[in-house]
Amino acid sequence: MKNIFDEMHAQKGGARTHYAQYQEWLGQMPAATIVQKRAEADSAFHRYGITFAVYGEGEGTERLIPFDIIPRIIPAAEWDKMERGLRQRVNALNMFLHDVYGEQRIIQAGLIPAEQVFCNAQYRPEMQGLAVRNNIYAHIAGIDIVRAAKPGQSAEEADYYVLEDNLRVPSGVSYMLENRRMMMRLFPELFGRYSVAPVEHYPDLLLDTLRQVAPAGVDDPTVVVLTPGAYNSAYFEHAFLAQQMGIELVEGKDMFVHDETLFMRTTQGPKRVDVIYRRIDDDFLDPLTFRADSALGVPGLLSVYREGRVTLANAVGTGVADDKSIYPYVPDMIRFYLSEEPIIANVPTFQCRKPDELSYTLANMKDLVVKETHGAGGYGMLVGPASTRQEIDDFKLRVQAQPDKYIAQPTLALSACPTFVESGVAPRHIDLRPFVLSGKEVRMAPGGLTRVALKAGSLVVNSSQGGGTKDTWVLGK
Amino acid sequence: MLLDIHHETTYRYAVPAAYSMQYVRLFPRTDGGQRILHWAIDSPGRRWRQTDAYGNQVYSMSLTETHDEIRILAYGQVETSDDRGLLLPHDSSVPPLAFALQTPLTATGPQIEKLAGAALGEAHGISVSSSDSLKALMGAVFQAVAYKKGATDVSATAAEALAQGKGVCQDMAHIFIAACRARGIPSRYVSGYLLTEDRDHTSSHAWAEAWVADAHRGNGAWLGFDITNNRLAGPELCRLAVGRDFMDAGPIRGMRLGGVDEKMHVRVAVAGQ
Amino acid sequence: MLSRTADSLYWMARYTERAENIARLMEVSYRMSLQMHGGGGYWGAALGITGLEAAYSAKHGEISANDVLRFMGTDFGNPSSILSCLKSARENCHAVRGTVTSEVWETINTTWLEARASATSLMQGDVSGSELTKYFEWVKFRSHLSRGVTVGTMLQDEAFHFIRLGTFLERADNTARLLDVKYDDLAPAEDARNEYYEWGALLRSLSSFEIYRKVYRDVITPNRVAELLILRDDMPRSLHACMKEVDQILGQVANARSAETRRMAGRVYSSLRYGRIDDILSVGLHDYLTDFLTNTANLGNRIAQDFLVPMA
Repeated sequence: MKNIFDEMHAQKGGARTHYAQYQEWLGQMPAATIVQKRAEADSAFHRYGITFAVYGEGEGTERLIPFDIIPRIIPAAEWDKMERGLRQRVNALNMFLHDVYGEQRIIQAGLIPAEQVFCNAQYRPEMQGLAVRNNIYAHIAGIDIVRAAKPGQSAEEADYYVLEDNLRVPSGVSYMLENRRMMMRLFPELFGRYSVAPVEHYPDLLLDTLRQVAPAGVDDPTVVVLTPGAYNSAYFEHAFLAQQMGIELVEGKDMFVHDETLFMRTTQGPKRVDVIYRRIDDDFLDPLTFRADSALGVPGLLSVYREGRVTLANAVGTGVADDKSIYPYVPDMIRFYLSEEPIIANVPTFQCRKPDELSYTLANMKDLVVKETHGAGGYGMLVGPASTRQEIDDFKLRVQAQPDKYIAQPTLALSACPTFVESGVAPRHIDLRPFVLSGKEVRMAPGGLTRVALKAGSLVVNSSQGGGTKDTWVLGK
Repeated sequence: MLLDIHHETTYRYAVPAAYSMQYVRLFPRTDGGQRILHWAIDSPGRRWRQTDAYGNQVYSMSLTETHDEIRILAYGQVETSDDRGLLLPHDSSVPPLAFALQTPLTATGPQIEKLAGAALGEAHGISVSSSDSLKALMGAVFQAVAYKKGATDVSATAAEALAQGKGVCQDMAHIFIAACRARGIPSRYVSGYLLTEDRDHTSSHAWAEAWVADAHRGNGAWLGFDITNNRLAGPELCRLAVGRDFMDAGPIRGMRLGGVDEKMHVRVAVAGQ
Repeated sequence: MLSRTADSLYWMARYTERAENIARLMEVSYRMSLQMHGGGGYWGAALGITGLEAAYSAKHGEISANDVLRFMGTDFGNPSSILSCLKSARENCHAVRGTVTSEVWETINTTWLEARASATSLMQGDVSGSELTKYFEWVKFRSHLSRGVTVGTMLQDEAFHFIRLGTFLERADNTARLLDVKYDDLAPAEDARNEYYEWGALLRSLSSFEIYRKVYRDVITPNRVAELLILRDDMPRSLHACMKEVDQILGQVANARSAETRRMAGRVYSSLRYGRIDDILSVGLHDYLTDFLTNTANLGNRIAQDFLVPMA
């Protein structure tokens, strides 16, 4: 792909304005210093235990997510627009969830087919008619954003797009915070040259958001973080956030339900819990409502939730809004609920359930990414440009058999940011996950987590597949 | 018809339990052509009553005192409509379409596909069902599965029960529901009581309701199928709860801490007048 | 504090202390087996103290020095082996990483990682005496370090109290077991020379040989050993010293339902505080210790119910 937007270097040569000072500074850094700083970062991450556990471990071996010392810099004006776009999008998504589990106006209006919602495995009938505080469902949203040029556009025409909404238990914010701490420790002088918007207040914002959605009548709510346990791959983040907010990190077995109330077991006796920042999936929350074999949840939890005497953040059933089959409708949601045009666009998406879009998809499959709507983890996905003719023909048959199970998108040229790799500094593809908090209002820390695909040419930024992270700088105005 | 119902469930533990939590769905629904004349539930511990998303009355019960027995008694008198094959309008905020989605207990399989194909045809969608094809499906399930107590346990899936060719009312309901859903027809699980002279069948019962799209001048309606008895639901049935499957609508779902060696004893008496 | 957190801290401390006590037991048994020829009885006694004879004989049959050392030192199949204890201590600590200081976590994690590494090489083929002694010394040293780093870095809050509670309850249990086995199974010995070695070894296993000399300035007699290990409040491994701590800590962490537990601990403590060795011996030391072990086991159960794993 030729039309890759380089975050640091303009195509006409030279550094982009917001990177100019950084590039100059980097040019003056002796190679040995860089090597030493990178080693320092590695050892500090190890020492602080900022790692993610490998499943089935328990042997004291934990993996480090590679950290790259070159920051991803976002100019103030770009962030400003992005922030407005994120606020708009998350508002609309919350209104959609409230509508789905309430009046279902958007369906009656014919904007979203009823079967796309109600026959979706992520739709939770249990939530129907259940009131949640402030009508907020996705209190913590991670919206994945890419900058890309569409096919036929030049690199400099690249724009921001929302690639995916994560409204269930989005993770990664601990890396956003630790990356900043690390950069300030390694290169304090850079923060003298640049006015970088701070992110350190995120835990305060999060705690404040969680307190804002406490059950009615609770003035000083007890907020807890619910983790599946020490062997979960994101356990570090759960412990980190609990510690940063100064609240208890609980497991399901620490809590019990009695007399319409949720309690945690403490050395001083049962203590009422009002708000749960839960980091386990819906299916595991209450073995008497969802999966009976779950040992991670609390039996009876849903009855307290239904009673409005505990808040779950995020609410149950948010997955119906971030499913791939619903994603194409988000711009319509924004228009329907807010009467506004979307500020950040979706990646153009073809829904194979529509006959004309199906025929387009079938005719152009070699240039498209085709995804199964309820699939996850790359299962049931075809990347046209990377597939053989035979694979494409086979996939066509599958799509033709059940067109409503597939969507297709153009293969995007994600933007790239210079990154330290073995051979030196080279551009690598990146994305961005801002974390958007909704309580009484919508707030977020500037920027988010920038993920980088460390393999040359790779578009996979996932940490389990060789992805790394960078500090994300939103510049002051 | 007037049904007098007395339903006693007792759990006994050889080693006492320190804590118990249960969801109890033993309060008859007030829709579907039935009327409660009086009803009461006796139970230990704390309890609170809610209406769930399906419109069922659910008692949540928690017990924090050490106990070696839990006794739950539900009793009262319910009047049911004398009509058989009553068409029931949709009755909860969960749309009928949500009952077209398969659940783990009602997942389809080759045998279920075959059953569905024979009775319902190959077309797919909410509007393809008619009461005649659904009756044919009920007959086919009735033929394919022999009623046999103890042949399956409560966690058996529709496909497993069908493969065995043996099961209880719960399994037959699940198979019927699975076949409907395999064709995109909304179908739901009903738990309740059955007035019966036949000692082989317990008076606690389960059956299914399917969405008949062309009923009520195209508005659609639920129609009850008592698959175990191969007949449409009638006055001998009292509806307690509905849901996507047994997990949503089963009469009692609970857990406990401690309480080793549980023995459950259920006694149900239904008398008609 | 969450009950589960307290539970992990308490068991982290108990397992660390238990690993140390087993190292002490193995060390003394090994030394005795060198000094007394045909000392198979000591290995049997060592298994007896930990209540593991049946598990051992199911696995190895005949008692041999090498097999006992393996079984008690590095066998993962034995949940009371040193290595199993260090692993459990580490797992409990891992679960409460955010509650202990990073120094405590690093010490306990490193102990486990190094123990696992050295155990692999140590337990292949025949074991040399000096290597073994070094291993047991090292386990004791790491246990001292864990305790030291706990006292030296942690805020003296509830977390700290539950760690200490685990340490002292485990230690009291261990001292009582060691004393019971030596006293009842081996005394009176057939000759004075044996008696000297046996009691000397017991004292050494509790780091009290020098203390005994300092306190009594006289020959070693079973009664004085018993007095030292039961009633001396300034002897850090005595029942009295341990129960004094337990009683005090239960006062510090008391909650609405722990009054009876505190009373029970207080009763055990007072009987030690005001007890006389002659009275104890007239009851019979074995009966006395059996009673004590029952009391500490009950106390452990009550602590679990009141603080660590309350059902509701």
